[in-house]
Amino acid sequence: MSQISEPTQNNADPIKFLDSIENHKHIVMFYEEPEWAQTIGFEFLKNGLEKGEHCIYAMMDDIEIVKENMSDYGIDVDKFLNNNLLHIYKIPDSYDYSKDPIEEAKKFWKKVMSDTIPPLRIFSTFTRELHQKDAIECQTRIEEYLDSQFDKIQGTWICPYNVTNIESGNRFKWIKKLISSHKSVIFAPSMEQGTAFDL
Amino acid sequence: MSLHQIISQYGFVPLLENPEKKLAEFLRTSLEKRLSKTLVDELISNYIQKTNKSADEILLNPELFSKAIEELFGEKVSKLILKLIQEDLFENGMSDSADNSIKKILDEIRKNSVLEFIQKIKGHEHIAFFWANNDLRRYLFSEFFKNAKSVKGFISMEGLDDATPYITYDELFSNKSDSIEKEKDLIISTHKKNTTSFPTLLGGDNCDRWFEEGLGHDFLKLEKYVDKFLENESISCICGYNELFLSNGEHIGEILSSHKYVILDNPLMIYKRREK
Repeated sequence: MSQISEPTQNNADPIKFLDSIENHKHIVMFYEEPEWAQTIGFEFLKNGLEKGEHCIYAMMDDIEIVKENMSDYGIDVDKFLNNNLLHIYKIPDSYDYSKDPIEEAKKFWKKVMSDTIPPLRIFSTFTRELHQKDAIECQTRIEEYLDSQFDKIQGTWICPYNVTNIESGNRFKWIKKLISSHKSVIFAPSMEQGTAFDL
Repeated sequence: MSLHQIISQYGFVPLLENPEKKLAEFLRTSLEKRLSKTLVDELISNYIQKTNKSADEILLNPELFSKAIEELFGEKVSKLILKLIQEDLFENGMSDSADNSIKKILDEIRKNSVLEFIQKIKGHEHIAFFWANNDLRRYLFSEFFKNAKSVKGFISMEGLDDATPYITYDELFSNKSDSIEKEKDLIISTHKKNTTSFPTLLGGDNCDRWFEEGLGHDFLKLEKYVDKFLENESISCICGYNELFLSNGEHIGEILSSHKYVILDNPLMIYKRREK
């Protein structure tokens, strides 16, 4: 496990922290304002695209809206889609939690990854229904599995979670679990604010 | 158990003056900016339930505050978050170094709060002061008396300076049968000389001597009388006790019951009896 980053203002800022990443990392991000989370995600992907890296955006958002937002942010979406560096996927709106979540996630990611070349930059979580116990439970299992296999993924993966959506009665429990299955944490509560560090 | 913990069991809470409230507010905002408002709200309300303390009391208790963060994020992350908050405090002019711990900053604020409280005293305050060393005892009584704008009366082991007249405990106990009356007379006669609108300042720096002389029971009655007397008279009075005397816990409850304020050392802090 890596050492804690030197706690200075410079690398504690989420964007600067992402800019300084050299090794592949599995990062959990807790946010409150979706716009700020998306900005961080776009900045992270944009830096990768400009370096010629394959970048994956896989969330529950509508693909056309994501493309529009990416363009507004300054990403040349058409160019990067055409040269196959940018991969945008929509995670299904609903999910059958009676199925094995790890197998389902594996199937989805096998398909997504088949068209990519490492090093990768990934911005994705499998579900948004974090207020449901079943959903967050499945998600934490997926994260634990992913973290155990992370050496096989040559890339950096940001898993964004809206703190306000996480099941309120057990919020601390889930946050602790999520932190323990990642190598770095970003707290990005609202625009231009937050902290980031390695665990 | 420390005296700070003991007196909180007797219903005394830290007297939060503006600088402390400002620090509590700053700590909360800094955490919210660093983590998330939702998390901080939950963290604090969780600890309010656990400890039965107010949000400000939790934020202004460095041990509790760091424990709360540590329970959620673990030791390493907690240390980092606290370090970032220290940097925020420094950048916002609330500390003169980014290396100062929250405890150090708070101790400084509290020390200043104690001094400001006793220097700008308004009258009607009956304060128990449990001192741990002689330097602090002398320092605090000097600060109390030095800006006096009215009359002052002091019973002391050794006095302070020429500007503060005093009688010694030895004089007071020269005839033990009238020691209580002698002290009562001193209080009343000193106060009668006060023709100003400012409070009369009274102090005794070693009240445990009464117990050593076998007059503890009568003195505790006098303490109760003084506490009542001060409600209607513009007098501010500090009763100093050596902490060592309180260590067996025998008289602390009775002493506390006749004072509305308590000043403690390590760290220097002022407490007020919780309003019912």
